[in-house]
Amino acid sequence: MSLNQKLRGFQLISQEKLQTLLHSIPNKKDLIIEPTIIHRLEHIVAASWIKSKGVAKIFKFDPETAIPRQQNTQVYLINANLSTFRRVLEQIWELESKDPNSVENIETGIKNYHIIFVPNCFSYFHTVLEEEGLYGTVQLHRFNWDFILWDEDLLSMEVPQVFQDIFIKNDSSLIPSIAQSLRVMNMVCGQPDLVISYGRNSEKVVDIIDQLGPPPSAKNPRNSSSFSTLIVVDRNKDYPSCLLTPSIYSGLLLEVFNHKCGEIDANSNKISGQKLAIFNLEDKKAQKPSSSNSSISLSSTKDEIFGENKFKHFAQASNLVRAQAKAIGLEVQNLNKMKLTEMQDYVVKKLPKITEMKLKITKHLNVCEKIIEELAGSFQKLSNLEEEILNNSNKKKTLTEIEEILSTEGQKFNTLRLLCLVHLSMGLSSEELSNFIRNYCNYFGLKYVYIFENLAKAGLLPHIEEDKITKKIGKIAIPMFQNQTEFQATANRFKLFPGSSETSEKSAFDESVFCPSNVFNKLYIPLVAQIASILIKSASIDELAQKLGNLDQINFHWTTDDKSIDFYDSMNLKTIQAAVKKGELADKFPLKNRTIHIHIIGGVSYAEIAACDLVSKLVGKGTKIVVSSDCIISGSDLIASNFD
Amino acid sequence: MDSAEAYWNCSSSNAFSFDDDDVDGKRSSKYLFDDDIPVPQEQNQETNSNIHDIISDEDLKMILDEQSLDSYTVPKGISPEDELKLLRRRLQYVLHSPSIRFTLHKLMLGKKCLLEAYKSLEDKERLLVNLIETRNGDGILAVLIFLSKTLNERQFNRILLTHPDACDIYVNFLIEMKYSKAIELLTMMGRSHDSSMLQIKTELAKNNRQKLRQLLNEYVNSPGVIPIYCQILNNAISLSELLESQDNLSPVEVLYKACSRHSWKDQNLSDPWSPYKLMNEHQISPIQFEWVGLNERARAKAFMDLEGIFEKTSFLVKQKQFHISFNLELAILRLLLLEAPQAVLYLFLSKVTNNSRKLALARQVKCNKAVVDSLVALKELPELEKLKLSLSEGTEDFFYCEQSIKNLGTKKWTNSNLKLLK
Repeated sequence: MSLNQKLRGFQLISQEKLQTLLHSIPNKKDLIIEPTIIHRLEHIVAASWIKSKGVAKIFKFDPETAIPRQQNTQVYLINANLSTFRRVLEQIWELESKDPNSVENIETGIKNYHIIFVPNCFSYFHTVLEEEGLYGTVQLHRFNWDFILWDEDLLSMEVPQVFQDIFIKNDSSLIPSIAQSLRVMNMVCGQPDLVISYGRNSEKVVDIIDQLGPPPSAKNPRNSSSFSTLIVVDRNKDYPSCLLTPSIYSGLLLEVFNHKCGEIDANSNKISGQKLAIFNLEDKKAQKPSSSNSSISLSSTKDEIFGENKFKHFAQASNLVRAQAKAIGLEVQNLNKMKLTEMQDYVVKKLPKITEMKLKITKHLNVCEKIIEELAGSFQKLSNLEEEILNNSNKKKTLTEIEEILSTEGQKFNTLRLLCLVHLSMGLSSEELSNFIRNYCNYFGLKYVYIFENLAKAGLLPHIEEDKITKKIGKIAIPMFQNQTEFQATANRFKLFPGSSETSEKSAFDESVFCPSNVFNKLYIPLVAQIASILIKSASIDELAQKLGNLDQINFHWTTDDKSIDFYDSMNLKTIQAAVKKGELADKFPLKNRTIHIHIIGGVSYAEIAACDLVSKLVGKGTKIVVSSDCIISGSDLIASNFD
Repeated sequence: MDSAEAYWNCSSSNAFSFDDDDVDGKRSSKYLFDDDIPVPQEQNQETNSNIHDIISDEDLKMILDEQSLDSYTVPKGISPEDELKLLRRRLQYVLHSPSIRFTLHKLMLGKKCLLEAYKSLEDKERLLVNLIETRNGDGILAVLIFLSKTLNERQFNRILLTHPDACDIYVNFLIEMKYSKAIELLTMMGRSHDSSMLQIKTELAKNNRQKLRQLLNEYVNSPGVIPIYCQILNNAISLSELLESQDNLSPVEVLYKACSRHSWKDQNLSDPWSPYKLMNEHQISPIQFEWVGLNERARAKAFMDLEGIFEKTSFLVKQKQFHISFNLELAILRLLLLEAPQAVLYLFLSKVTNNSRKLALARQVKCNKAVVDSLVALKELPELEKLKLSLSEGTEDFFYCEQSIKNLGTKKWTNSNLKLLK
């Protein structure tokens, strides 16, 4: 069975889980679903399927109005979010107080209300339920769909709050769920015998997978593991891959349009939505009537035009789309020259396909135009600015430029994105930051001052130092020569700047036009793509140790056939290297199986996905990289998750 | 009404409104939840594959067992003796000597878990420390809630103090459940900065002047005060005083309003709505001030006022000078979008010093007079002739072009040219 077939199998497992859950709830049911979940659920089951599992009616959850209960049991399907949960409980309380049979129901043990949480029912929810006085009336459940396969080699858990919870609020509640989903991946695809974690949260996820123990089938595996390696990385190990403006088609689609659940809405505008209304000129023009079918699927199987162009440079992609449009136009023209018999045949066989194709191409043409309209003016300027930031050339000039951008085309998220990039690459002082905060809050609203605390917690901006006294001491203590920022150090160690230094890594890429840095106009190579490339190219453990050694927070879990070492024991690379030298461990390099799985905790950007795809094509020889994360994001989404 | 809407309405009571969904995004492919829709491609391929090919039966069973929140299921087909043993052991764990490993495992799987057996302080702390080690936030919170109920405040707070990671999770929970308790706890833990920030965030969102004043007073005197935050609080108070309403507008939005009510002819600086006063009070940057002024006045079609914004008298020269704080090009392109008349565009174009840049810009915004000017400055006589031909005779632009060509012709013997001849 092919890997893609296996990955598609997650849908079947989710169905099985949901079916078991629905069957465990007796009587006829009404299902009340939170809107954001509906979109995701559609990728797992159809309404007819749900109805065949004893569900009479399906409603949309409305936090404002409770849906009155008739005879059927009510089943709520909501996100694992405390405030939503409390809202549901309030509604149930309201309904129960009106129900004349409520006392009787409790006595007979009939639970008329059930709540299913996605992806997990947190333990303290039971306490909350008890405190609200509804224990015994309401029963709690959980449902985790693990992974949804959006596209070839691309999976998403669709749990968008991971970044906010883990990296901003320092709340690790979702870590066990992530580990459990990755364990299901192990059950489906077999266990990779090398697991690499980079970052504190990734390390814990791998630990939990380890502690949960191998699945029952591990004793007699049916076939060998699909993946040789699993790499789990924390989002905060490589922010620039989200913050930089991508130059590829799929990346720009997410810059300009709202997306959700593997679709973009071509009628939306993510850019003007970030601007202050007083400066929006568009409202003057009559809004184009929104066509009913304006979404583009971000799946290569559903939309082949997206599939062909997703990882191409935008200029190339938009030219191709235009050329295709012309070709179709010609084809339609030919219709006029056809003989009647030919035409009949054509209408029956080809026309429906062509019409469908035409529709798709028109959509892509329209979005290309819109992207050009929104970005053409600023793209070059932005690229230059980003290059200056990465080169750490002139901080003062850069900050002045950002101030001008803020004031003349202020975008709520994208402007902050630039500032975060400045901090990561150049370092920001408290004074510089205070200055920006004043301008930003004056522009967008004083109430947004808390954003800067959140960004600091996520490590995207510095914490402001307390007052003048410490600042002065700080100035004396730290001499003016600028140390490398942490990001610069990491980027240099991993050689993420394609033109920066003479290395074998770099020259190998530079020879061809296809460097993974293409996704950022040759500015920067996403970290995960670089790690994957190092891993696949390393001929021995020594070579790998030379490139990845001496890094904090990178851990290796090396399993052996003879099980002399504990399952997934965490080690650092040097220890493994020494053990290999002594002959205690067999060298796994070069990797025989070149299929690897990368999971990023906190969201993955299309630039990263594309860079991984490029690496697998560049290295070739059966290399395949499957990317998964909790959600697919653009830079503005990353910043937006700092806003409550 | 399309079929999708029909589907939802027929199945729902009137408590449900479909309109909400349109706000958060149009759904296109009608509805997968609509039974008329053909099954998506993925599912077609799926029908061929069987779940047993995807995952082994024992693994699947394990997944399904783990999904359930109850942990006290007795395996089927077990002998009565074994069942008794199993139940005894479980009872032992629950009532008397808890096994940390057992509890940790259950919490990791997210199973319902009784913690009552953890009676001694030592047991309680050991459980928490082990959980923090695994970074299982869900379990940490469950245990903290248990501790908060079974320990007195002094003991509980001591534990929170020694485990900042756990404290963060508990605070997040309190913010949602009992906001005032969260503030109290943060203050008590000596995390006055976090406590202040939380209050600043909450009060700024509510925008209640009284509360903001009180908060500012407290904050100014708290340790580790950050000047910019004081300033923002202070500005928020003065802004809400000016607005006399609960409107949560940004200073720039207020400035925009102020620009529209300001009488630009006779500037009254004592007026609280004077844009200049606002700029000073809120330290609005010159760029933002000028940008707002430009946009507002241009939209109000009061282009004459722009001079007042961009021409400043300097004390030294005693003469009005044009000054702009941001890129002049941006101003010109924006004015074009705001449908500024040619004369205004010309005025701004005349300030561009680089003539080739000016030419390009003038062409972009189609300001012929400025095109002529820059061509003259660049001494592009042939281009000027070309331009003249393209202009319709009798228009102002045409005469201006013609005159310029003449002037360029007669200006041959200017001083500089004479010098060159020598």
